Amino acid sequence: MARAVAGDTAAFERLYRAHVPRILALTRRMAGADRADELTQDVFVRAWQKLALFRGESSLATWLHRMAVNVVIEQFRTLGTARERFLPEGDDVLTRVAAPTVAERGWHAAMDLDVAVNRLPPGARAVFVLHDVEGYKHEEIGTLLGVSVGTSKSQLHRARMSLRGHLTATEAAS
Amino acid sequence: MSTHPLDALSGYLDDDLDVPARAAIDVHLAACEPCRAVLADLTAVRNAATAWRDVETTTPADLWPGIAARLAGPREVASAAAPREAASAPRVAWYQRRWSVGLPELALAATVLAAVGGTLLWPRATTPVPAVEAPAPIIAEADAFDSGEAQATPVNFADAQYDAAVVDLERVLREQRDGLDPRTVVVLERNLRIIDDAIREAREALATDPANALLNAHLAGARQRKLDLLRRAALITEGD
Repeated sequence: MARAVAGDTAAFERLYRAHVPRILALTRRMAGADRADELTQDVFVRAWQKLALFRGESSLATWLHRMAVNVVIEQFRTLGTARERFLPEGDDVLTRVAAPTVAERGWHAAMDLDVAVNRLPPGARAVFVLHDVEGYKHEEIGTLLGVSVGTSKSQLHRARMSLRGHLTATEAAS
Repeated sequence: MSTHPLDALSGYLDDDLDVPARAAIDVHLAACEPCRAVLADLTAVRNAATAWRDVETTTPADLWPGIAARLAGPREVASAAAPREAASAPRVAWYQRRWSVGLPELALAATVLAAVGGTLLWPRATTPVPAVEAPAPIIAEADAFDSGEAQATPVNFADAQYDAAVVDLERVLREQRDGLDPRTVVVLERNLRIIDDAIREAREALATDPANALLNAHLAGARQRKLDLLRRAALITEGD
């Protein structure tokens, strides 16, 4: 670590290789496979630039994780309008009640979560990934994404219902 | 509760409702099988997401060359005034920040450039590269920073030698392109574009500030990295 801070790129490459699987997984979940590689490169370039600011108050993995979230969210801000980023209010994903039960049939047998999440609008996907996958609180998500806590909660619920809807559609087609 | 409380089920699942609201949901769920099924589905979705957290991803393409090609820019240095563990900052083009570079950063830049020169200059492999003569390293100007008195002296980039090497290596790549993994080609071309952009930006900045030593060093480093990347790619094609 000290050598990387001092400018040793070989040392930094070792840090990169140790942490890239987790960071790549995060960028892929949040932004999709199409942009994951480029965003992951952005994360490590920024980490290199800011490595001297890392004080060890959290683990390096946590620091990189947070940095990756910020890099992805900055990318989101350059994309489209809020309407395109979030699931619209009043969407019929909430009206479907008597649907097949996912729990009984098993999630992994029915669908690929990766594929289903990538169908969500970027903002809704970010809320879902940050909350349900990464364990962020709604207050943190609201701050990161620049939305209210209520919007974060609403989008999380709609994302979950939408994923359930994708599952239902997948099952119906199979 | 006469209607299905679907909007509240995620909050119920996350234990995010106040006591009266939760009690009302409990009463409804006791009598409503469809809502219990929806709740079970939402639970399954959340559990799948939790399990997803520990899934790591590998990529067939090595992202490191593209990262290494971008490491020569300014780095932030720790100071009492610096925000602790700051993880985000608006992007500013490196040449727009050059006037804020102080002596400590210049010393660090010298270290970075020296390290880059040592690790990326040319592949350490002894494998001969097809019919391309390596030009002399063009990064020696990093020494200018070591004195702490960066001299504003334009650098001789040996343009003809550099251009000839690039042309030769690009020809090798064109001829061998079909033998490369398409994913490698994508990464290679993307990284070459990044380096070319850096070279172009450096040249544009130098057009208005031709004596700036940091800009000259950056341009030299970018050109060196392009050569390095092309040479690595040539070695890959030869390995195939």
